[in-house]
Formats: sequence, structure tokens, C-alpha cells
Amino acid sequence: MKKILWIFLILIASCTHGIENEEPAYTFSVNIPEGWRKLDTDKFLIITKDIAYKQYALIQERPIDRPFKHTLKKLKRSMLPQEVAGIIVDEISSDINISNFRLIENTPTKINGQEGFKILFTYRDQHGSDFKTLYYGFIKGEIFYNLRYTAKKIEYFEKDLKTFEKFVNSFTFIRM
Amino acid sequence: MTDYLIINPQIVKERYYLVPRFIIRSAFWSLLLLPGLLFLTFGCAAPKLVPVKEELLVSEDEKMIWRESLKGQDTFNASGVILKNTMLTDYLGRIVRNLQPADLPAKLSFKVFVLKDTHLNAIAFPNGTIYVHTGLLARMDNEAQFAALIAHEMAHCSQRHALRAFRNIKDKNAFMASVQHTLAGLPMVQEVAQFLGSAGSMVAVAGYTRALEAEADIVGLDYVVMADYDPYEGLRLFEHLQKEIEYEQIKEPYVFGTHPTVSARMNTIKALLETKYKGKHGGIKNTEIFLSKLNPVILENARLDLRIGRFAMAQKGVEKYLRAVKGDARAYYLMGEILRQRGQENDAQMAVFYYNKAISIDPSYSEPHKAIGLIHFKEGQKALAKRFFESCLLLAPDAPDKAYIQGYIQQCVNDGEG
Repeated sequence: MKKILWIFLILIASCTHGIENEEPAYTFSVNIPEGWRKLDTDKFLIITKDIAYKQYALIQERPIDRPFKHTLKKLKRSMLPQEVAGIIVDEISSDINISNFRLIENTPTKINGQEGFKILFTYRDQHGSDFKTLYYGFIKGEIFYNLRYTAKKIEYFEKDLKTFEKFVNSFTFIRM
Repeated sequence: MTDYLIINPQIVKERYYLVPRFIIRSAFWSLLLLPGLLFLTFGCAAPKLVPVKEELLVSEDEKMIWRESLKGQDTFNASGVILKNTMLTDYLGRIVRNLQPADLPAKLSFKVFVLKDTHLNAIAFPNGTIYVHTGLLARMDNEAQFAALIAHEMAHCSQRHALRAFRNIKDKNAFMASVQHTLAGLPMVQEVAQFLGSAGSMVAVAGYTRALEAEADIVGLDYVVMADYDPYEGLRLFEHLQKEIEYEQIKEPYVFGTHPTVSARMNTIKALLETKYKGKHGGIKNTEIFLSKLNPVILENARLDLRIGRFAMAQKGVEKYLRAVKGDARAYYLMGEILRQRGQENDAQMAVFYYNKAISIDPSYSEPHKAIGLIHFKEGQKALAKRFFESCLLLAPDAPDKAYIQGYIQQCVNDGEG
């Protein structure tokens, strides 16, 4: 039955101009903006309009018990979005691959009805390029979902920000 | 399985051509790493201890090594990881000047910088610029211990170990090829910085051959004794750190890790203390002045430890700080944060105690109000929580997390606790 439903969903999606529906490997569905390419990886859904180094959007389903790379702190189901955001900021700002990290905004938000957070930050990468990231996150069950848009600060960020917001707004759960 | 939050498109590059290969495998980075790799390579070789007799910076190879040192330093300087504290760097600079031997070539001048990093590391570049990590500084107890560490680093520079190691390479082309090969496995520039930060510390201490290390220990200890510092403190620093590393099971495989040369070095120092410097107890320690100058480093390092989730280390740091500085509201708040974020049994209760202590010292300090509010909020004591959230916003109407706090207050109201 599920298979039939999926075939149906994919057919609908493929009939919709410029919109591609995501594969059933994920627990969510999202509309990929027109002109953006999906980079195939089993780690997360990552899309780009140009080249991923310059700008990308991604969605990741991350088990909350999976350790982070740069901080030993752990996510818990009972955490408030602000606490989760705090750990994410700690993880990113402890990343030795980036420098000049600056948190611009950290606010509560809702993503598809889920209580979450939205953080906006800038950093410099290993090649000296400045990037800006808009990062949404929330915990649902045992999964930490995060939706991010990262782009070179000057040339790209503002240009595709609205597209990313639409992308985020199209995020829906298709299964638990 | 670990995870990356800053996504490096390199992760997907191998399989998906759409992602560019933006990894720079340039000669620049090869050269930047050259001094470090030299010593790593020499760890397995057996360089001769041929003293360099010619004047400093006359030969082309030494000039090249110094040029690359400057590039490495530029990387650090641009990365934002240097601790800006003029009073502290002036103080550390004075210690270095006290240690500096009179016969040092004029071209070699020592400078010390502090890196905001929790590792137990120090890095000395051949041109005399030395970087000490906050993680290492925060664990020192007195000036004599710092002198012991820095004198050893200075000896590497004054004895021109980098040049001597470089000259020991028989086949420089093959060596350069091996450098390139090694670099191919270091895809990111900041990993190069990391490489310098940890493996690179081998440049400073553990990466030289045992013979060069021993020489740096002998010469360094001379500097320490000539400057009238207590030479036994260096050994105490080693012992103290080794115990801490074992107890905390810290992965510190480099400067003060479990590298076998560390034991060998301790033995060298012990032997010198029992022979050449027998009875040289009671030199300068300068404990109080050292701790008073180092306090900002200790607190900063505790913050960094908290950020990376090393709660026990962070707690130790704040405790050390509070032993020296009484009545610092920020430190009590930090202690509260460590406990609240650790979230073990009774931690919340203890955190409230420290937050209240911070408030009693500085009633206008908004952060502890919010933190107490959060604890009560999560415990379901919404009326109490609301009171603290409101007092937080009264004190800091433009708090950066105002939207969260307003949300909590609204939730308290919705739950009928308003």
C-alpha cells in the first residue's frame, strides 16, 4: 500500500512544473526549487543552484544520540529549542575548520508546526572565504532535523534566501 | 559515528562531480607545513647533532624556513584564535626576556602569543615566535612552570633545531615528495592549522628526535636556572599534567601526552636535577603574580572547555579561578552553566545555588535570572519561572534571546501560572 502511495506521490510531483518531490528514504517531503540540483548523498538531502561550495541548502535527519564532532555535549529529547540551538552553536563555533564565527541571530521558530529554532551566523572557511548560514532546527522523537542554507556572504546569500525560505515552508512530514 | 555541522562539500565530492574539487593542494600549504613535517619525519630518523656555526639567517635554507614560519604565523593571526590581552602578553614577554641568554643573536627575538584552544600544546616557530594554548597555561601553577616550558621552546629556536633537522635530510626531493603525499591526506587548510596545533606541537616538543629534545631540555634548564627560577617546577608541571591526562583520559597525544619521549624527557630532567642542579631548590616561583595575570586565561579556557562539553575540566578551571578571584559574578554564573548543562543528579539544584551567588554579587546581571527561570520552567514550576524570566527582561530589555524568554513567559501564562 505504501509503495502505491509513493508511486502516486512521485507521479504527482513529476507532473508539477519545476517541482521535484523527495524520495521516500526520508521521513519528510520537500519541494526542490526550480533550477536547483540535488547532490546525491546518503548523509543528507543537499541541493544547489550553482556549485555547492558557493551555495547549498540541505536537510538532515540526525539521530539525537549521534555524537557531535567538536563538542561532547549531547542532544536530549527533553531539551528546549534554545538549549538545542546552544549546542549547535557550540558545535559549529568549536569547529577548527572555520574561523571568525559570529552569531547574528538566535530566535525561536516553528517548522511545519514543530517548535524549533532559527540561527543566523557567519564564518570564514579554510580558504578565507566568508559564508553566511541560516539554520533551522528542531527535535522530533529521536531525530534532530535541521534545514540550512549556506552561501558565500557577499555574492550569494541574499540572492537565494527567499527561495530557501520557500523550500523550508514546503517541508512536511510524510511518515513518523 | 560523528557528524559534521559545517558541511564540507568535499564529503560528497568523490562520488558527485557537481561538487567542485576545491581542496587546495598548493605548494603554499606544503611549505607552511614543512617545518612540522620535517620533524615528524625525523622522529624515525637519526639526525646528527651538528651544531650550526654560521651566522643566523645567512644560508638560503634557513631563510626559507623562517619565511615559512612567518606564513604559518599569518595563518594563526588571521584565524581569530589569538587571545588579545596586552597585559598578559606583556607579562609573558617579560618572563621570556628574563630567560633569554645574553649571547643570543640579535636577529632572534622571542615573542609569545596565547591561542584560545583547550589543548595542552605549545608551538615554537624557528624564528622565535611561540604560541602557548590556553589549555596548557590554565593548568600551570606558577611562573617557574611557565618558564620551564617556554625555556625548552626557546632552546629549540636558539639551538636552531629546525635548520639542523632540515640539513640532515639526505634526499630533499624525496622528502618533498613525501611532504606532498602527506599533505594530500590533509584536505583542509584549517586542518593544517589543527595539524600545527596538535601534531604541529611536535615541532615544539615531541616531534624532534630524542637527541634534540634532550638538548632542548638541557639548554632550557640552563636558561631556567640562570634566570633564578626553581628548576624543579618544570618536572612538577610534567608530573601534574600527566596525572591529569590519565585521570581525565584526555586524548592529548602530543606535547604532554603519553608519547614515550615524555617519560624519557622527564628522566633527562630528573637526572639533571640530581646531578648538575642538585640542591638548586628554592628559586623563583612567583605563584601569586602568575595566577593573578593568568586568571583571565583560566576563565576563558573554562568557557572553551564548557563549549566543547568537557564539563569536569571546565568545573576545575572555574574552581581554580574562584580560589584566586573572590566575588566574580561571571565566574559563579559560569559554574552554574556548567552544572545546568551537564544535567546530572543534583546539578540543577547546585546550579541555582551558583546563579544566586552571582545575583547576590551583581544584582543587575540578567543571565543568572534567565538560567534560574529555565531550571524552574523545565521542572514545571511555571509561576516561579515566570518571575525570573520577567526579572531577566527587566534587567536586559534587549537581551539577544529576548524572543525565547518572551515565549517562555507566554507559555507560563498559557499554563495558567501567570
